[in-house]
Parts: sequence; structure tokens; C-alpha cells
Amino acid sequence: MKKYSYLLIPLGIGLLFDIFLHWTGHANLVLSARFDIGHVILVLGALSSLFLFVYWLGRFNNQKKTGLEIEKNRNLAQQEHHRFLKRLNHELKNPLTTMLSGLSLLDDMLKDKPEAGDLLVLLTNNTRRLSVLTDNINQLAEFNERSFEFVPVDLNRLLKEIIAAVLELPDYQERRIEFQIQKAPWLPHSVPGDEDLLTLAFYNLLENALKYSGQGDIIEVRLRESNKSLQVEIADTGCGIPEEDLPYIFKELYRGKTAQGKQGEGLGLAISKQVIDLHQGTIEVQSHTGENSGTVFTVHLPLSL
Amino acid sequence: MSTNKGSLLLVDDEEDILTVLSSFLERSGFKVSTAANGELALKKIEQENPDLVVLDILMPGLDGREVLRRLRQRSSITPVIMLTRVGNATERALALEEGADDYLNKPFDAHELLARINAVLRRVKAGEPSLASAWELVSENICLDRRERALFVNNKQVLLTPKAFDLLEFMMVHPGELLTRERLLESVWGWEYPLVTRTVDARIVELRRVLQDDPSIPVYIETVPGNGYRFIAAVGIKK
Repeated sequence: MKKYSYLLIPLGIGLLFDIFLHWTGHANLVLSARFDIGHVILVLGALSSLFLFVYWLGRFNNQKKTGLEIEKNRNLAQQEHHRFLKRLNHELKNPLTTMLSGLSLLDDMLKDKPEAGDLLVLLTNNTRRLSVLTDNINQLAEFNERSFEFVPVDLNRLLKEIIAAVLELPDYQERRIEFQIQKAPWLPHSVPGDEDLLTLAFYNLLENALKYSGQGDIIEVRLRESNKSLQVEIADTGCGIPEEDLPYIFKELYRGKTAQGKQGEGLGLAISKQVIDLHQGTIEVQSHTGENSGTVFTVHLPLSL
Repeated sequence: MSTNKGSLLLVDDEEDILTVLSSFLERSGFKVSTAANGELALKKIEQENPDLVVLDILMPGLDGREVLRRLRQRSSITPVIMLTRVGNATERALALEEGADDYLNKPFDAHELLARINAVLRRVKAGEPSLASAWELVSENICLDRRERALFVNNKQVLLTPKAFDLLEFMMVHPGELLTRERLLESVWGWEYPLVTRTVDARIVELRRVLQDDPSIPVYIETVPGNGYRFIAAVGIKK
């Protein structure tokens, strides 16, 4: 309240003048009026309203400042998080190099011991997994620092290409993905974006849909334009995501209960979300498990930035 | 164990890496010397005159880039392979300004290093100049100006998307080598997502269209089924 004490200055000045003028006998009559009790109460009410307004204004400004502080702190925290990931990655690469190269050497040295072969393959594969993981984490951290050049991206063409690519993977060659695109009143327009990053984002979402559904399940990709943004929905009738996992699925390395036993390090969705955030878009998920299970990811990308 | 495929100098501040790599490379027939810092590296290059230097960038004291700079200042043309974790833009800058012959991102497998060493030495032994630090590269009907980032086909400038240019540049600096999609993604895009190789294919399609290169009877870019691509035309430096 100390900040608002300046509000009392005019009152103080007025009071001082009043006292001074009366004291020196110069309180000439300026206006003679009669106030009945109703008027007095009205004036008191008006003054109270004025004070309440000032109080409210003060609180509003405070809230705004707090909101900005929170946003600033969140950004700082995220930057620090990414810097940490980069430092971690930096420390991991030398030992990983030693391990990968050492395993190659061992493989060569143990050529005459075929029983060692399987074990070496196991060790090498796992070391490679670590290597890929650190690279992916580094990518995620570097998204923050990259500068991007956005050009118009035709999602109609892009999504068709991604669907074709993902269905070429050995595990998914027998699967089907339906692509529905709005044709009326017009075909969806292009969105400003980085084509490679958007490819990555949607690729991960599609791969996710395929991973958590089976041969008999349906996967639909729907593209439509609504109200200054493009909407992409990727829906599947797979096993769904448990409710308790839903708030965390976009977090790096998070793997829910249904993910146990499946290949992957839990970065795909985190990367998709980062990319969509970078494009000033939004991504949401709805999912049910059990009877009638399924999941739908809804991505909105603005038509202009 | 045959020796004398050449002599190498390995430079890295991590002793373990030096131990493992020198063992591996010696078994592959090279004579290997090591140095754990930049100053020692420069001394050994002067004394031993290796056929090729493998140089880590991030070292305390004199880092890899500084070592390379001093080497080139002495007009040394010893081929250098840099070990580093660099993104694409930095790599290009290093190539053009400081004259490294190739890069390998950590972590890597010793076989990959061996393949790079062999590729660089093959070019050197054939008396071919290092393409990595040349400003303008020519091949058949095309001329690539790396400084201006312009491509000329039959002396007429043609437009390429930035990534397609980077891809062509990389392929022309590594002619004759089998370039897997993964390596291209890593070197040109700075990514390691082995599954999003579609991106590479799309740019190759663009390059073939611009170069009017028929994939069934290619002049420039050959598809190696199941593996990747190869730039098959001879590449030289514009005089």
C-alpha cells in the first residue's frame, strides 16, 4: 500500500488549504449549497467507488506483472534445462566413442571365438541405442537455439508423403492409413513452416499411431481448414493411452504403462510437441482405453504467423 | 597383419579413445602415432609427417580448429579429418575457411573412421586435390560456387532449395563414395533420425530434376539400392 500513498496527496493538500484558509479568515464563500443526507450518502458512495476502482487497478497491474514474471521464469527454466541436456550430451559422447570403437576392436580380436559374436552384437546394439538417444536428446535441446526460415508448406502433399514413407517401414507394410482432406469450400491452404521439422512432427505422430494399434485397427488422418488455422487429426482405434498417463505423454523420455516392451525412448511425442510449439500451433490428445479404445491427436497450425 | 597402408596421427584429449582407436587402426594396417593435445600434435606433424591427421575439435589449450589453422598457415596440405559434434552451418564454415578434408561426429564406430580415412587417402594417393576447401567445384556440365551458394548448369544459373544445394555440395565433395541416407541426414541436416530418410529422397528428386539426371542412366547421382546414393561423375576444382 505504500506505493499508493501518493493517492492521498491531493486530499492532504486540500485539507491543508482548508485549514489554512479558515485559520487566516480567508475562507470566502464560493458556493453556498445545502446538502441533505441523501446527497451526503451519494457523495460518500461515489468516493468509495473511486477508491475501490483504484484498488482494483492496482491489483490488476500486479497480476499482470506476476504473470509476466512466471512466463519469464518458465522460459529461463526451459533454457537451463536444454543447456543441461547439451552438457550431458557433451559428456556422454567421449565414453560412447570409446565403447563403440572398443567393441569393433573386440569383434576383430575375437574372430576365432564365434560364441563371443552374439554377445558382441548385443553389446554393440545397446551402445548404439545409447548413442542414438543422446543424439536425439541433443536435437531436442538444439531446437531452442536454431533459427528457422518459414516458407509456405503444403500439408496436403506433405502428409501424403509421410504416410507413404511410414507405410514403407518393414513393420508396417501391411497396414493401411486413410487420408481424408477437406475439399469444400476449398482445399486447405499452405501454412508457414519448416518442412523438415513438420515432416518429423507428423512422422512421429503417425508412427505412434501405428505402434500402438494392430492389423485390424483403423488409422485416419484428417486435414481441414477452420477459422484461420489448419487442423490435422491423427486418430487410431488402437489400445489407447491410460488416463493417468495423458498429462505426461509430451514430456521427454516419458513412457506410459502401455509403452513397456515397445521400442523407442519416449522422445517422439516430445519432439512433435516442440516442433508444433515452434510453429505457434497447438497439439491436444484424447484417448480411451478398454472397450472402444482409441486415440486422437489434434494439431492446429496457424495460417499466418 | 599387413602394415603400411600409411601413417596416421590421432589427436584427442581422451586417452581411452586414443588407446582403442590406435589399436584398431594398427590392426587395419596403419602406422599410428598419437598426441593428447594441440601443441604436441603440431610438433609430431612436423617431425613425423603423417599421411593423415585425425583431429578432435574440442580440446583444452590449443583446440582442433586452431591446430588446423596453423597447419594450413604453414602451407601444409596434410589431409585432416575432424572429430566433432557440429551442426551443418559450422561444418561448412570450417570446410571453407580452415581446410579440413572430412568430418566425423562423435560418437562414432571405428569402422566409420576407417572408411573415411580410406576414402580421403584414396583421393590423395590418386594425386587429386582436396575438394573440401575448394571454392568452386566442377563436374561435367555443372559448376558449384560454394561461396555464392550458386549452381550453374551449362553456364546458366539454376535455383535450388537451400537443403538441395547443401546436399549437392556434400555429394560433390565426396565423389565416388557410397553415402547412406543416414550419413546424409547427419551431415547435411545435422540430424540422426534414421527413419526420416524420406527427406533426403525428396531432395534427391529435386536435384535430379534440376540436373536433368535420369536415375535409370545417371550421369551424376546414382542410387545404390538398399544403401543410399553415390555421386558418380568426376569432380574437379575450377581453375
